[in-house]
Order: sequence, then C-alpha cells, then structure tokens
Amino acid sequence: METNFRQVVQYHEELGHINIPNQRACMMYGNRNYFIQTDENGFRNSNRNAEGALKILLLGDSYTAGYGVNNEHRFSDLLEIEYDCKTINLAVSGYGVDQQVLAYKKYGKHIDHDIVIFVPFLDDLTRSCLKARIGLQRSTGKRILIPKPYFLLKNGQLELRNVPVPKDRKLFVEDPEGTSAGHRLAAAPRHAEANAPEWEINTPLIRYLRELAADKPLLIFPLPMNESVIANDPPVHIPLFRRFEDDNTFVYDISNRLQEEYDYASESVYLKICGHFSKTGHQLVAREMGRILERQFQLAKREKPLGRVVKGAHVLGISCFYHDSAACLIRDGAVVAAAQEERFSRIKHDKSFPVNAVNYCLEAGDIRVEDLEAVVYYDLETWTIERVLHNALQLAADKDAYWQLARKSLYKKLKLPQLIRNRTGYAGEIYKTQHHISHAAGAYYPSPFKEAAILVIDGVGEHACTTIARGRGSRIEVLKQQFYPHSLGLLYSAFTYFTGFKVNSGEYKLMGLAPFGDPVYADAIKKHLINLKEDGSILLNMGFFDFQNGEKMTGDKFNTLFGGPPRQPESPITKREMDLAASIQQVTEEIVIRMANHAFELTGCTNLAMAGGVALNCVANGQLFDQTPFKDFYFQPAAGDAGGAMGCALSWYFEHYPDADKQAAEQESALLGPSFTPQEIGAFLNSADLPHHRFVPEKRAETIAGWLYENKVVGHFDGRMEFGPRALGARSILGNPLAPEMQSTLNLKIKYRESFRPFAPIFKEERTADYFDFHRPSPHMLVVRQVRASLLKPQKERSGENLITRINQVRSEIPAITHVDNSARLQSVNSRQNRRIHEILDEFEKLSGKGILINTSFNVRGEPIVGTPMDAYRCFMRTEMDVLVLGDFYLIKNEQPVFQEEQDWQKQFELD
Amino acid sequence: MYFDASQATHTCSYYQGCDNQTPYTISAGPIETDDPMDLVEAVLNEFLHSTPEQKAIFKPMLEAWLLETEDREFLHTEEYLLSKRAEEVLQRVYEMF
Repeated sequence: METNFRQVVQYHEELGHINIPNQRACMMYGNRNYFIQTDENGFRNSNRNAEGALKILLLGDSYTAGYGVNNEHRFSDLLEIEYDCKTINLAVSGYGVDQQVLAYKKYGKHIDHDIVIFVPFLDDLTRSCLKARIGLQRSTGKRILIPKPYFLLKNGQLELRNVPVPKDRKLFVEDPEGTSAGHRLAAAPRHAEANAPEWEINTPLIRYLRELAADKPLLIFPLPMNESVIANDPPVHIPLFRRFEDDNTFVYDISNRLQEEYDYASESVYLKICGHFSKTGHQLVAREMGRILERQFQLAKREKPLGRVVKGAHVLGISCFYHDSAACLIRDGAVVAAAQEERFSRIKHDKSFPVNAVNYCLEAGDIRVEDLEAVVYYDLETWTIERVLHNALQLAADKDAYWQLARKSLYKKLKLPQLIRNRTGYAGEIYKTQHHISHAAGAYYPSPFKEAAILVIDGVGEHACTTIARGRGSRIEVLKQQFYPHSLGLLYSAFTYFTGFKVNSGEYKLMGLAPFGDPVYADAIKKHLINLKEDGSILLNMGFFDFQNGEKMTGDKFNTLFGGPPRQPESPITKREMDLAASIQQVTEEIVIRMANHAFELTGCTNLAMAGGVALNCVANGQLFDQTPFKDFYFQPAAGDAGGAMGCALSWYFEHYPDADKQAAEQESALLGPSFTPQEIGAFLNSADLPHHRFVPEKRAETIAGWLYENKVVGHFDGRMEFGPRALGARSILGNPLAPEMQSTLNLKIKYRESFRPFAPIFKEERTADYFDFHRPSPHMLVVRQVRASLLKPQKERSGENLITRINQVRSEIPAITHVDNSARLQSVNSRQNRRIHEILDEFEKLSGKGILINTSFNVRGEPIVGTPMDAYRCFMRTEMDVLVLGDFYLIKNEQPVFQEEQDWQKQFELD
Repeated sequence: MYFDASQATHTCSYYQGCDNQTPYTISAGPIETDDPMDLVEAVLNEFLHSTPEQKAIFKPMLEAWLLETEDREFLHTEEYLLSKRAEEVLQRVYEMF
C-alpha cells in the first residue's frame, strides 16, 4: 500500500482549498512518484528565480497544476526553462472556473505579470455549478463533500456565495443528480454545449476574468475532455470560447494536436491511470504554447535552457524482504535521510519493498531518482540462495519440502533490481553488499571513531551469523566470522519463540521479562544447547532446534529439556518463562562479552562499534562497559535490518570514494525521518476542524512540564522522526516517572500491553550520574544500567510474590522507570540533540527537582510508532492519553469530538 | 566453507577466517537478465562457499526452479513482488530465506 503521508491540500476561507504553502513533497500516484513544490501562497511554483522578458501567469486546474508529474515537467515550467520568460502557475487541482477567477483576483492581481494564460478544462465549467466537491477524508477514506465558493447570477450580476467557505464536511451520499446531497446548483451535462446550463454562469465568469486582467492580454487554451481526444471528436467547444475573443483576448485550439499525438500505450498525451497530462503531454502543450508566444509576442528561446542543479554524490540504500524494510539516502557520505517502511505503511516490521521510505528519502534530499549515482541493496541474495541450498542438502529426505518453502521468497529477492526499476524508474547501476558488511558499515561509519573494532551479531545474513571486523579511516576489513547455523541471534530467537513471543520482534519482551526470573536453566543451555568457546564462538547442538527445517524454531528435545511445549502467545506467563528469559539473557551476556573481548584481542582497538539485531539487547550492551577493555562504544540506533539500508549505502560510498573523509558520515542523532512544518500541522488541524491551541512559544516547555508534573500523559510529536526501533522524544509518550502508579497506568490505559513491560527514562545528559551508575551519554536508548543506589528504597523479600505485586513495588525515587532488578534503559539528551525535549526536562526539573521523564514509544501494542500528525491524533483518541502535542500546537482530550472507528483497532495490530 | 561440526572437539574456536573478497559491494548487473539459463549461470558464479561438486548438485535445482514457466509467470507479477504480507513465507519462522 502506498501512502501519501503528507497532506498537501488545506482549507482556504475564500477559495475552498489550496495546496499547503512552502511544501516539498514526493507524492505517489498509482505506481509512480512525482514531486511537488509550492510557493508561499500554496501554488505549485518552483522558486527557480528565473528572469525573463515576459512574465506569464497561468490559471487552470489539475491539468495545468500538473497532477501526476514533477513541477519541472509541467508545460508552465517547460516554457520557463526553454524561453526567455518567467511563469507563475496559479492552477490548483479541482478548481472550477469560479475558483480560478477568484485565485486570480486574490493573488494573481498582485503579482507582476504581462500575460494571462487561462487553461480551462471543459469539466471546470461544470465545477462552477457546484456548491461542493466530492473528496476523500484522509482519516477514514470515506467520500465527503468539500464545500467551495460559488457564484449565482442575480439580475445579470455575479453574486459570490459560500464565503467564508464552510468547514463542515458531510458524507457524500450516492446520488447522480446531487440534489439530495445538496452539492449541485443545477443538473449539468458532462460535455458543454452551446445551450448547456454551465454557460449561464461561466460566460459572466470569463467576462469577469477579462475585466480583472485589465489591459493584459488574455490567452485562452480550452482543454477538451479526454474522451473527445480519444474519439477524435471535432472541437465543437472552440466556437463557444471564440465568443470571448476581442483585441486583447485570444482563443487557441490545441485539440487537434492532442488527437494527432495521442497513443494510450506510450502515454504520449495522458497518463493511463488518471488521464492527466503525461510528461510528453506537457511537452506537447509547451511546444504549442511556445510556438504561439514566439509568433504573437516575439518570445525568444533562451540561449541555454535552465537546468536543475544537483550537487554531490547521492546514494540510496535499501533493505527489505527479511524484516524492517527501510531506505536511506546519503550525499557525499553524509546521511541525509533514513526511514523504515512500517512508519508509512502502518504494518509493523513491514518487510516489503520500501517504496514509501524511498520516496521520502528522495523528497528529503530534494533530488529525483535520476540524480542518484547508485542504488545499493543490503544483502547478497545469491549467497542466501547458496546457504539455503546447503541447508536443503543437509536435510536429505526433507530437501524438497524445505526448498519449496524457500524458493518463492528467494525469487522475490532475485528480482529486486527489476522491482527497483519498475517502482522508481531508476535506470542506473544497482549494487549489493554483504549483509554483515551493511551492518558493520552502519555501525562504524556513523560512529565518532577514526579506528574501531566492529562486532556484528544477528540471526543470519547470507552465511554469516557473527562478524568481527576492524574499521580504520574509510576502510573496513573483516577479520573473522561465524557461519550459519551457529548463531547467537537464532539461539535467542528460539527462546523468544518458545516463551510465546513473536520471533524478530518479541526479543525485547524476553529481555524485559528476564529480571523477573532466575537463571536456573543457564547451565542446561550451556551443557546441552551450545558449545561455547573462550573467544565467544559457539556451536549449536542442532538436535534441539528445528529452524533448519523452516517450520519452527525448536524441536521435541528442546521441549523435553525445558519441561513441556512452547507457551502459547497471550497465555499467562509462568515462572518457567521468567526463568527461561533470565537464563538465556545470562548466557547471551556471557557470549557477547566473550565476543567483544575477542574483538579487542584481534584488533587492539579501544573503541567498539556494534550492530546486528543482538546489538539491540541493551542489557548485554550495558555489561560491556564493565567487562571489556574498550574505552568507548557506539551502537547503531537502527541496529537491526533497517540500519542495513544506511550501512550498504555507506559501504558503497567509501569503497568508491576511498579518499573521502569518514567524518562526513559521523552522526550524532537518529532523527533522520520526516518532519512536518507548523503550516502542515496547522493545515491538518484546520482541515479536520479539530479543537486545538497554539503554544505561546516561550511557554511551550513550561506548559508541557506542568501537565507532566500533574501526572497527565502527553503524546509528544515534534521534529524529525526517529530512525530505528526506539522513540527518542520526537514520537514519544511522556509521563511523570516520580508517580508510582504511572507504569501500570501507561501499560494498561495507554499502551494496552503486558503489565510486566518496563518503561525507559529520558533525562538531561548532564544529570546522568545523578540518577544512574553511569557517567557517559546514552543518546539512543541502547544501554541498560542500574538506578543509582542512593535513590533506591528498601525492598521486601521477593519470593512467593506474583508478577504484578512485584511490578507495583516502589523501588526508587523514580519508580516508574525502575525495573524489578533496579535497572533502567537509559536515554540521555542534550540540547544539541533535541533542544525542545531538553527544555521540557529543564522545566520539569524546576517543578519536581528531577530532570527526568518516562519516554515510551508513541503507539499502542503491536502498532508501528506514529509517523504523521494523523497517526498521532488517531493514537491519541484511541487511548486515555490526556494531551497531544503536535509541534507548536496542542490538543486537550476532553475538548475533542467523539472519535468513532468502524474497525476495532485492537484487532488490527497483532501482539508481538 | 561451512564449519565441519565433526571437528568441534578438536578446535579452540568456531570462528572462520575470511578471504576478504573486495570490493564488498558488487554490481547486481549479472542477475538482471530475463534469460533463465543466463540467470542460473550468474547465480552459480556468485557462489563462493561451495565446491565444484556442490555446484554441480545445485545447478539442476536452480534450473528447475528458474525455468519453471508457470512459477515464473506467477512470481513475475508486480503484485506478487510488492505484496505487503507475503503469506508464502511463514511468519512464525525467522525470515532466513
């Protein structure tokens, strides 16, 4: 599903609707993308700063606005690019002649121009007879009636009605005449004819336009209906427009040229999917207009056409088809943008081709796909095929069944280049990088280190499950690897599966459950399941596992060893699951520490960069600070496969530009996703008519901190979205960590998830040592450490208590973020990384004495973190959150209208 | 090559050295072919963890897979390639394929 995650149209009091001003967006239209850019008034003008002898202002609808094509591909822009002129395009999709005239009156009259080109599509005449247009409601997808201004003719005079345009939007009721829905002024035929009722209102409208244009030449280019072009109908509409011709008003017929060039298959004139002008259609119109302007107004061609200037080497990285699809754009080695597909598609861990994320990256870089120097995929699919074939051979009798299971998925990967080209139109070279190289590059290049040991641990990438490498300057060198099936990631996932959580996404739950249990099975794991060497390398005893068969993770022997079958998802969690979680966590930590120590021995480097799914095990990460000789650490915030999109692009870049400075890639922040301007958020709130307020800028932080201190739960949506699985303040739910009941409130009333799940703190970086046994920054929430002993409270004996009782014990002065083992998952923040969150923490500290808050991801159970203002509002209304902050705006729950959904959202999102 | 588990008791490490094939990033050009036989050859050419004997076993499996007309027609559709929820791959299994 493609989603236009940006709203691009907003309510306008006088015109009904207009594009959102100062916006740049990559839009999906069918299976294509196109780029729009708007000016300060909301019209699609590219701000090319073109000079020209002639200033041409254009009026029209979507055909002139260029629906479905980039700004620079429209006929208005082609004229400006080719000829010595400047064009101002005031066309807006969906406008009738009435709105075009009003747009000229409100805006065009005040813009310096010499000529007006009016391009009415015949259907625009019909639109002048409507009180409202049918549109889609973004939040529900339902058809609604969007009110518009209109004119009535009274005693021969035009009377403007419906201004200010009402905001109320009724649901559209299917009705051919439109009378019951009340949106038509009169029944109108589809094609305009001499006596058609449209002319009653459009004749004075066009005369009014003539009058408004004063002494400026008015050139009318009526566009026939597509059906007439296809059917080669004679241009019967032209004489109807000729009635307006005078000394300064000219009518031109281009329908015969459209008919001559029309070819459906090649989209020579119209786009197949919608019938708007294609790129070549716009070129055709531009040629015709240019010819007329040359002849009639002596418009000359430019000596050199204006071109787009794109600076820098742009590389697009893509990860997909395993889990957590993502895209990342780098420019000259610096990360410009990165995002996970799930945030757009709203499918958690979406693994499909990340078309929305790709489009966002191009939009953020303000480039087109043809500007890319390379597209890189994060995995060698042929090596994965090779591994699967080896696996199949080992299965002997079950070989065919296993191969059948794998082949379709493998085929999809093999056809990825074809898909990239089909979906993006990219024609350049496509590359691919080893899976673990992608992870290693994603860990090393963004790190602040000039030299580092690199440790990659995940389930499996092609053949490798663990990789130890060294980064030095712009070069990465792989030193040792451990191959499938002997994988720490798969070992951990086997326990995730066995304890009833979803593999690939429930691992963090297992980690959160571990402190509730005792590691009574750790010895059994080391004795029966693995053979662990001093250097951290392991050999799995495959008799206990079933993942090589492709059906499930664990086998009967595994069940016998751990006292029965796997736990069923959502069934009660017993002591066994808690003990299993504690045991595998302890073993994992021991293995990771040994691996890291071995990486130190091999490289002699004092810095360690880590990635791969196991690097998201922040409890193990926290241990590395005490139990390895490394002095500094960097954990890629998108350590899982999403980060592979960044790594493969960086790997390509530094292999092809070996002299480039690695410093360009260093990256302090994980805020790499889309942001929304105040104009965009305001447009969303106003168009949906949602009760809202705007912060007094200097009181924003103080106001939010006040709510939090009153134990209100605040959804905080601000700035660029995070890249990676953690919400770091930009798409976060914030709460008061000093309130003992806040953990259960958040779990049960906001997140609707298991009550054992802990919450993480976000705190001022400079306060780290005041609250925790830690003295370093932890900006990406990838390190678990203990709450400082001086803040802890005496505890009762824990034996015999159930899980809920233990959770509800007050363990520290910051109880809501203190886990049952007195640990916390740390996120420090300084004002450089996120100024506005830091200000809120400052203000909260003034009230409470502590610069720390609860920070949990802005979503409900099973839902991807919210990506857009609409997602945030929906999540706000589905839960018992008290306040929603959208950038500079805020919404109070009890001021909102009743929120009704046809579908039960709790069934929409599966539990991990 | 894969680690030989039968050697497990005779080693102090299960890590394997790397031949550091560089560049790590290679062109996808060779697999961008619609000719199934060329595709088989291109895929086999990129196998670096198999002996010639193993490649000889894999070749007919790859040919059968990539030549199967019905499968190709189905799998080639963009709807299939783009499907957001590829149910063909069991969700409960680690996505190892």
